[in-house]
Amino acid sequence: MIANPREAMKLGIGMVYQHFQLVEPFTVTENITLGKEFTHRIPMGSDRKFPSIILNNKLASEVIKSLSEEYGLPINPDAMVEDLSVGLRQRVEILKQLYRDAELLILDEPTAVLTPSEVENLFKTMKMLKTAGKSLIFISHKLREPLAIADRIVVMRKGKIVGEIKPDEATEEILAEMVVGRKVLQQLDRKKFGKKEEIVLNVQNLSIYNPVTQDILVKNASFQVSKHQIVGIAGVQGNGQTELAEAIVGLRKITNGNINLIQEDGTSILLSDKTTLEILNSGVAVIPEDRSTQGLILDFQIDENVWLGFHGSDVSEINDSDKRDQESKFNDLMARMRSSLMIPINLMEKLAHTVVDQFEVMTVSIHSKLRNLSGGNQQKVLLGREFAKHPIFIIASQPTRGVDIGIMEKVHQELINKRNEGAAILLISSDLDEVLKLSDYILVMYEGKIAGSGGINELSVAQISRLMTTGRDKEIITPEVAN
Amino acid sequence: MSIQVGLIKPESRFQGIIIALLSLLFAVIAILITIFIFTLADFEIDLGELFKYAFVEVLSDEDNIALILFYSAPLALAGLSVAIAFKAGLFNIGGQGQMTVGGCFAGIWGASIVPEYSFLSFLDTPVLMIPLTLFVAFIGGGIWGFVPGFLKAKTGAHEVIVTILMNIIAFSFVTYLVGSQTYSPFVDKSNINSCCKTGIITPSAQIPLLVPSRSNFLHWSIFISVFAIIIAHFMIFRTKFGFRLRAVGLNRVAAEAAGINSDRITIVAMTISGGLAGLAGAYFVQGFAPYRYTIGGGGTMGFDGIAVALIGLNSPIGIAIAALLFGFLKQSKNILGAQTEIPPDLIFAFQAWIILFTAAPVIAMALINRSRLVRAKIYKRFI
Repeated sequence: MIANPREAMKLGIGMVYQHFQLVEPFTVTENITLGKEFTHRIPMGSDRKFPSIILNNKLASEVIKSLSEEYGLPINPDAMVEDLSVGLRQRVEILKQLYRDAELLILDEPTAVLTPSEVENLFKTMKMLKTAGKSLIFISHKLREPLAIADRIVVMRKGKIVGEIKPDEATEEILAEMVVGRKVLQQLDRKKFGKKEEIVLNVQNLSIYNPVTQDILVKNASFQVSKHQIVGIAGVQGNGQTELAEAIVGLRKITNGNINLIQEDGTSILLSDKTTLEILNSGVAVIPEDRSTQGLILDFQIDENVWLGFHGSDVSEINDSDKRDQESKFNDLMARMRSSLMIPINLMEKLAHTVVDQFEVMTVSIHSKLRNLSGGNQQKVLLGREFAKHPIFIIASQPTRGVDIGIMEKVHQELINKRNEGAAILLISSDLDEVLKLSDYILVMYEGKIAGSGGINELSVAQISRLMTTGRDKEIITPEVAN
Repeated sequence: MSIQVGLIKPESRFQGIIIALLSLLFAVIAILITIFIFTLADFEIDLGELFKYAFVEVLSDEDNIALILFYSAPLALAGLSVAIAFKAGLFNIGGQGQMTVGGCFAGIWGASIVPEYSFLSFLDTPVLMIPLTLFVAFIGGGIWGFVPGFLKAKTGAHEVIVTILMNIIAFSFVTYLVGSQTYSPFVDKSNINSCCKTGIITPSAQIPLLVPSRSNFLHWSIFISVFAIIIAHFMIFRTKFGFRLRAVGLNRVAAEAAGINSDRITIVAMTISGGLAGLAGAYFVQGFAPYRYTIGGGGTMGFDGIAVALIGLNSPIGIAIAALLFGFLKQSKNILGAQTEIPPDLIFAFQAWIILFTAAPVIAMALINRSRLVRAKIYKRFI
């Protein structure tokens, strides 16, 4: 039994978490040596040295430098962690475990935050560590990756190990079936739609600055999303996608530019003038990046969470209107007051039942707290709520983050269905596969700019990947390198 | 309509109640240990006597029961005040100041303003004056709640700090209004004994006794608390505002993303919270014998409200029960002090134990989980 992380460390087990455990304003050396620091030693007599409490940063940084060279993981030991890219931060995490003499490294979803080229690098590192005699456990929800790197694949489902397979015997289909427990259709049924373009969302010259630091978050972005169209935004996380989505729903002040929503009847609304509530009530559905903090309230019941999307709309009045005709003026007044003051509990429960049924949410009752549902079921509740609004425009940010393949498939199919019904969808995802699978048109964001765009058949994967990491779609040899 | 069964974690609606009851039980055990330690230190406390006076006596006498109700009502108001702020994710510890200002405003309004200005004399009937004076107290406390709420919403100033400071301002403000024989604007300067209190409020603002022949303490004003509890329960769980309030309290980011104006909710919740504490202040002016505001009147009811809300698990019904418990303890303390040699501070110690065990539900939770494990084991053995 391993009682705590310290004991595990002593036994040579090191873990690289999905969310990095780094102190951002510390240097690389400080982060790696944290908990096992180098100190100046005071010579006492011939060969005895007395350890002091004064840090020896110089020695530490030399040791880290040699460690990083030994394993072929080059890094500047004196750089601040906050200045490093995600890939390099991960390298710091790995070095931290190696510094503590880890023999068994556990990598928890290490590729979730990396660009394709960074994933390549990580795989190289992993192979190198393998030859150096370390054991690695690589946890991933992407089927392609264990097939590419692992020597042995163990499949887990709902906390149980359901099978073990050698990668040369497995294919993606076999793995998917093991993970979900049934056949998975990797192909989506999608119809083609003609060129008839009805623009729903029109973003023009949108710029967003950070109000405090004046950093540019989004720069001069212009694009359109039409009916029957999924526009995918590819890009490494933190390149302005989050801010763009927040600006569209009115959660962030924009510095420049226009965002227009063109409604069914042809009237155009300037979204930048509206409050979030008004935007949501004008037919915009939002699947936020982080469902547990932005989309749902985990301590609310399912029905209350479903109602959260409708609390400001006039659904109750619409449903009561036919009854109201026969009633007297006083009753009419009372009904009006009730609907403006109270939560219509019946309606709320009816809605919750519809969502639970339609999206096959696994729950005991609609009165269960959302906290007691699994992540995938929470996402289903969120999706059900947003789609129940009959939106004309949907922003889906990372719609399949942290859900299993079965639910991922369901989410993808629902998005495609909505597109076929005529909704305009803006898909933001750091998972390039997802963007490629669903989108009709692709935008690549790099450092707040739209670095490239094109139809699904016009851009190659290599091109997109290059745009994601450098912002340019051709390799340009810079003069310094050429010399 | 079908619902698929796939329970991840067992849920219990009664868990909160069980925790509260267990905490109470632990507190009883802890106070017995405290008494035992007293005995070791040669300070004999007769348990029989303690039980007789602090429990039997208090519950068997009509006067005492009336007093329990009399104390419980403002405790419930102060507790509700804390709970409503808490439901919006705010910690209002300014109840004492809000109560002070509310009470003072009610006293000034009833004793100085209405009788002095003849154009207000049409208000001088109980039907108008009683609710209007309560309303003035609500406004007074409400202002003291609004300021921290506003600052929290607009500048992010932490409500705990601001409400503590507002307490001090409240005491100073009230001292200015009625605390000085020479300088205060609302003190009867002709009477040398009138310092630190307003005049007696006009009779029409006084709330009548509930049963004049039986008790000199119990006024109709206890129904202010009863109504406040019913309305608060209704408001929190049934209205749109309550829904938004809870949403903001549980997850501000998600509430904002759903289009709820969390700043507005913060301000309104703090104002209502302050207003309720203000009503507790008015309770001691309109429904308590000399019918005037006195500095320090009402004791530390505002602070006690925090404990009441804590033990009542921030639900209006729970607060009603917790307020009765605290009212009962307060009266026990009075009886112990008046009729026995037992130090009444023992009741303080008991209150402290209750608060400790409720605030740290870990102990009770551990017990519940343990019993669940045992139950599961027994279940396995028989199946």
